[in-house]
Amino acid sequence: METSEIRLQLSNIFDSVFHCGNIEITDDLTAEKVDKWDSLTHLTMIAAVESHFGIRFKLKELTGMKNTGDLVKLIVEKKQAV
Amino acid sequence: MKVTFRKASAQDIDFIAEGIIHAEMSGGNILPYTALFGISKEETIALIHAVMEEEIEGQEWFLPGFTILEADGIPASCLSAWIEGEIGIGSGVLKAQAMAWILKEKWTTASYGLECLRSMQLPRLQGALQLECIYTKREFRGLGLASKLITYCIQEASSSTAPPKTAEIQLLGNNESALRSYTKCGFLLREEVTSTQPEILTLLAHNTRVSLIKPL
Repeated sequence: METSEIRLQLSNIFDSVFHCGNIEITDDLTAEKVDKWDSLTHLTMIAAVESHFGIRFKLKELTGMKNTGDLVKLIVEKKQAV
Repeated sequence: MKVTFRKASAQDIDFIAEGIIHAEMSGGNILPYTALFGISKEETIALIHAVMEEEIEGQEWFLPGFTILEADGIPASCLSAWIEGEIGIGSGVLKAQAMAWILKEKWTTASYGLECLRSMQLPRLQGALQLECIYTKREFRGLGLASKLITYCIQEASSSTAPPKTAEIQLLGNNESALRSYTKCGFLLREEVTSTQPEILTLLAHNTRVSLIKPL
C-alpha cells in the first residue's frame, strides 16, 4: 500500500475520531495541532487505525510514536509484514 | 534528622505505589482506579508495577523519574518529575496508552467514566518541569520534607543542559494543605477547572483540578 493511500485513509479516520474535517496528514502533525486530540481520543484513533488496517501495534511502538509521520511508517511496516 | 536524596530504584516501587495511591485519593475515600476500572487496591499496585516495567519516559509513572527523600536513611517522601513533551508526546497520551494496553477490556468498559474525567483535564504546560505523585509518609509529615524534595528536584532540573523555565504541579482543589505548602514554595495559580458533571464525585475526591506554576 502506497503512503499516499495510507494518508488518505488516515485522513478519513482522523475526521471521524477528531471531527476535524479535511485534515491534511503531514509527517509533523501532532496532537498539539488538532483541537480534539487528547489522551482519550488518541486511544480511539489508534483502535480505529488497528481495526481499519487489520494490524496490531506493540506498546513500545505506540509510546515511541512522535507524530503522524511515525504512524504512517509503522502502518507501512506492518502491512508489508502481513 | 539527616535528609538525603537519591533516584528511585526497583526496590522503591511499593513505596512509590503507596504514594501514587495516596496522591490520587487526595484525602478522600475514592481510589479513582477502583471507581473507573473496578480494580482493587492490590490490582492498582500491580498496574503501577506493570506500567513502570514498561519504562515509558516522559510520563509520571516512569521509575527513573522518581526521586526519593530519605530521613535518617528511611524513605520518607517521593516525587515524580519530567519535562512535559520533551520526548515529543504528551504525558497524558503516554500514560493512557500504557494503561489501556495493560488493562485491555477494563479500559474499554470504562469509557463513560473516562469521558467524565475529560471534563477535569487541564493541558500541562509544554516544556515545563512537571512535579507529580508528591507524597510523604504519615510519620514524617509536618517537617517540610515535601518542600525540600520539590526544591531539590527544581535545582536538579535547573542545572541540566536545557533547564526548564517553569515548574508545574497539578492537584485536586480540595487538597488545601498541599496547596498552602506549594504556595509557600513559590507556586502560583495558573488555571483551574471545575466539572459540573455530578458523576465526577463518584470517581474523584473533588470536582476542581488546579494547575500551579512557578517561574524558574
